[in-house]
Amino acid sequence: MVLLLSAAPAAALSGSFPPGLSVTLPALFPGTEYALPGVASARSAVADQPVDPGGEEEDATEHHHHHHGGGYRMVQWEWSYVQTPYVIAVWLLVASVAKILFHFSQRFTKVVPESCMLILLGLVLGGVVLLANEKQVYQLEPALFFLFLLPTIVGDAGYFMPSRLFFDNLGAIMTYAVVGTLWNAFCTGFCLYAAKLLGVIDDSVQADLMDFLLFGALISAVDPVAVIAVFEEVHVNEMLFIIVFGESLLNDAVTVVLYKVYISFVEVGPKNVQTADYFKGVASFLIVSVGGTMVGLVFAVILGFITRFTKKVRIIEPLFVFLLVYLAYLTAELFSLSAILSMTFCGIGANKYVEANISQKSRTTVKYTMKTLASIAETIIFIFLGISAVDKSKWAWDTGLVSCTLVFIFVFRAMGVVGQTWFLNRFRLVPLDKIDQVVMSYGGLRGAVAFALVVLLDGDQVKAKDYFVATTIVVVFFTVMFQGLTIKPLVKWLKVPQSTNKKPTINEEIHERAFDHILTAVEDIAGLQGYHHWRDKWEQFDKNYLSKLLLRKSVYRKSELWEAYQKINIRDAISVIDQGGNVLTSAQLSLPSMTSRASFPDITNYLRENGSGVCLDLQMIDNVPGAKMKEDLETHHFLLGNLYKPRRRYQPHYSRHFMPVGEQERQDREVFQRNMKRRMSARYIRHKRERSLRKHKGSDFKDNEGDKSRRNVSFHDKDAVLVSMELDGNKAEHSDSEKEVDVGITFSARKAETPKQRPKSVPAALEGDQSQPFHPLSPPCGDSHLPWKGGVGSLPPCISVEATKLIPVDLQEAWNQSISSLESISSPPALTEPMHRRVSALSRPGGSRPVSYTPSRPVSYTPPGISSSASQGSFSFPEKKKKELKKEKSSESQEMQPLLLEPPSAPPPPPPDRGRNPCVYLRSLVTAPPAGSSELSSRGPTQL
Amino acid sequence: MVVKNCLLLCPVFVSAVSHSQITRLYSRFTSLDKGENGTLSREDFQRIPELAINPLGDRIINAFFPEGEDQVNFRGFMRTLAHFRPIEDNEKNKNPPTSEPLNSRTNKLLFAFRLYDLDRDDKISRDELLQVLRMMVGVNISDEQLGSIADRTIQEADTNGDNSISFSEFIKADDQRHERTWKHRLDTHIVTYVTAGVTNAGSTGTR
Repeated sequence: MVLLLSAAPAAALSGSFPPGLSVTLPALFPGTEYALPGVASARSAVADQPVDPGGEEEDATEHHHHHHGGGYRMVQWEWSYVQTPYVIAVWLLVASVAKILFHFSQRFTKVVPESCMLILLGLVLGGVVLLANEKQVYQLEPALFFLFLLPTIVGDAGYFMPSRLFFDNLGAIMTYAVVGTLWNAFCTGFCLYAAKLLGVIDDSVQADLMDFLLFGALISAVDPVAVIAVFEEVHVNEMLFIIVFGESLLNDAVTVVLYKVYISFVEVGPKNVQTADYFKGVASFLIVSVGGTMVGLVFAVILGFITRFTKKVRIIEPLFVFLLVYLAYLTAELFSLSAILSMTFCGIGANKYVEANISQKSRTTVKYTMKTLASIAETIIFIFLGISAVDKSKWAWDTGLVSCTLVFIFVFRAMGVVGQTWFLNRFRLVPLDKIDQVVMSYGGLRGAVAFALVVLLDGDQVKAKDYFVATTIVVVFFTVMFQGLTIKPLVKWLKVPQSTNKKPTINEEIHERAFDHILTAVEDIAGLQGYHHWRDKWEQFDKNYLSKLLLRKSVYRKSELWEAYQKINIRDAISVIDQGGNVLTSAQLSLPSMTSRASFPDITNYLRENGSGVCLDLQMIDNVPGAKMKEDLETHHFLLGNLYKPRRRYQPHYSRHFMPVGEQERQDREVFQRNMKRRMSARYIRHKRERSLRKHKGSDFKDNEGDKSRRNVSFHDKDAVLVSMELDGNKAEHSDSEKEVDVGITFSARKAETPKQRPKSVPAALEGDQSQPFHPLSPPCGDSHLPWKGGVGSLPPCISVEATKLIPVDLQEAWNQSISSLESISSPPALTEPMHRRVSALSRPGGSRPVSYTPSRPVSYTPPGISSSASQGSFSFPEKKKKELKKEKSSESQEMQPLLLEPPSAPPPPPPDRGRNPCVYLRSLVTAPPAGSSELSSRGPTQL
Repeated sequence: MVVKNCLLLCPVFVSAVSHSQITRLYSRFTSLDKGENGTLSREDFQRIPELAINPLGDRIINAFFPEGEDQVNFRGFMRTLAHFRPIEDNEKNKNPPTSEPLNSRTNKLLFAFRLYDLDRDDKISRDELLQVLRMMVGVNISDEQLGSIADRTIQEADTNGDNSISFSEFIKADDQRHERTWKHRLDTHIVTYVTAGVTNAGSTGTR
């Protein structure tokens, strides 16, 4: 405490003077070790060494060492005090700056994976340090690696793992991870031993079978860090990526167990190993893997549960995520279970609930922080790999061992992949083709995990440790650098014959894209997401128990897919209608549950790849230019740039370096709004057609005709929004047809009363004089004190409690506004009718009319709603908007018309409740059970 | 029970689609059927959230409804989906259907063609093409640009000079490349997912 307190002023003082000027003061504290033990211990590799003056980071800190002279020094050199954090910070800085430099040249980074560059940089730095110091002081220490660097990467990977994709391919991933790794380990081990016996490997390598098996175990595991780093830059399809990546994560359990089993065997000596020990090894594998997974899941549950209650302390939400995920790792490590598995499953399991529970800002924070940490950890790992390689003291080179190992791991990897794929393809829906297999074999990168494990070996027991270290370093460098560098051209080269046969014509281009969309839609309709029994079961379980336990109440309700959809619909309906004013973009709408759901439907590999546009672009370049060709090219590019991409099943790639772009979101928004508009106008058109049909027949026929043409009850229920626009459109229309509309509207709002009311009011409407039907309706519009215009408190009955319940509170106001703007576009009858008709009809039979209303003015007829509301200046739909809307309607009407030309062949006529007011429409749009279900219940499936 | 009935009633599918597929699709059908009246309305389809962000979503919905119908029953639902079944070589049709199966390539293309051809005159006119294009491109494309694309497209495919694309021309346009991607997609991928996945129900993963 004293140290801390007194150090602060000292530091402050030293900051205010140039470092050289040190005024002696009585030293308050002898300059002993101030390094904070907690921080320092784990990072001893970096910290405990005295910083060498020639090292790069030293440039930044020119300094003198302690002066422990007598007297008071104004400025003190407190290097040992700040050393540990200082060195760490400088290393981070170096790593980050290196990253910046690499990304300067886009062309360069496209060819050379970042990991290669980092290793090279590490080699250079290591060389510099070595030259200056004669001794390598910085090393990739296993403790540092396993306790700090690896967890950040695995945590990030687990938390942002595309879980659906992961579980889709879980079978394949497990096979590769377990069977593949075992196969690699044993084969490599035995073959190396055979090579030793054959004398290929030098005698100086003192190793027997157990040592080689141990070495085989640690060298055979595919490394997650390297895989992410390289695969991220090679744009393989998601499925391939997830298989290799998942394998690299899950094989941790196998590696750990094999490693430990062999270590213990080596310790006791091969002769003392009993048969039971082998079984113990197998059991240990089960315990390590299952135990690790369970620990992860337990922490996932805890995490989900905790974030349920963080509403008041939003600011520390991200911290919980980091802490618990990290604790999952440490706990598994504590019990020597598979820590990687634990962390991965903790991330996967908790993601859904945490994302739903925490606030948007916390989500962003978690995301950025995780990515930042993982990115920097990865950078440091690669740099340190490079630096460690320059340490001569640990090397012992044997060409035979190195070359044998390289050959064996490559050959056995390839054989394993081909064999397992052959087996798996008999069960897989989407078989892995040859290219996939090549990529998988070639992408079996070894990395820092292997290196850290080999450094951990005990040199006394494993005599050949130095040889193994050297070999491991070579293997890691070879796989990461050579294979990492060449895998991209390889993929390209393999794919070229496939995609340059022919350039697509414009027709193909368009139709293909259209078909992509069709397929996506069909997949959605057929409901691909839930066809695995266990997945259905799981979702059921999740919904019934887990979500209730782990999600906030509010979230839990909203998180249900349908409710998310409701919300979106409402908001978007609002923004569509209310375009002029403050448009609520649906960008904000993408609720977590929505996005996660929306991202599953799948496009196949082909779609994914061709949909990315990049591949197609490559084809463009190959074309021979000509005048017409060029034009074609432009069109192609143009189309490519602008055609909507078919939705991808998953977020493009798990990527460390790039945050997902809002492109897809923007497209979704556009399409959504368009679709909504179209749907609304479709209803409008239907209505219009019906009416015009009705118009042609006399009013006597009206009822029959109306019934006939009303084929789809539930559809027509929703029919209402634009009824009033209609009035604009058909100015000359007779009021008797309007009567009809009114009647319909009246009853639609109150379904229950339909049968009763209808006989009463239909005759009334029909028999009454022309102005009659309007008149009960108009007054409410004229009324300045319409309830819903007054405020939120008094919503009109037609919106009713149910409707308002659906609207998120924050949207109430917007909702109310747009309802009123809807009112002003839609005809007064349509609107006001449901709530006032009965009342007003009774209370004011001959009641007042709006001033503007003139019954006998068919030509210049103005919808009362508009005129009246305009005159009162309360809510007038802007004239311009209206025109725009109309224009859109008409343009879209052309499009919709033919589709809707359905002859009135017909299901039993429902009661005439086709007209509806907008709010009811909106509600029906967003509520699950369509109205009119009761009418239709007679048409059961037995009809089939 | 209902499914069994349906099987009896739809011989087309019995040969083509396995029982479990039908069962699954039937459960999907009922889950879509919010009104629980045994038929799907457009509303029911429109409730599928993904369709709301599919540029051609509504067109496809419409394709499920035969002319003049506003409801589609399970049979109709299956009939439309059957278009998307993959053609399987190894599948042995014990009773090879006399007529062309719904999932033949021609029928698949016809299905796509119908989505363009709104007025059912078996021609894709410039207007119809333009509408589809408009749906499929972003908002920042001007009408002229789109118009010229439509013109070029028609010009490219149109062989008989009627300034529209007939079905045969449509097939041909796609023929040019179908060997490679299109056919591949149509025949294997598409609905490996839609239908074949069913056969694996219960097994773990997609393997």
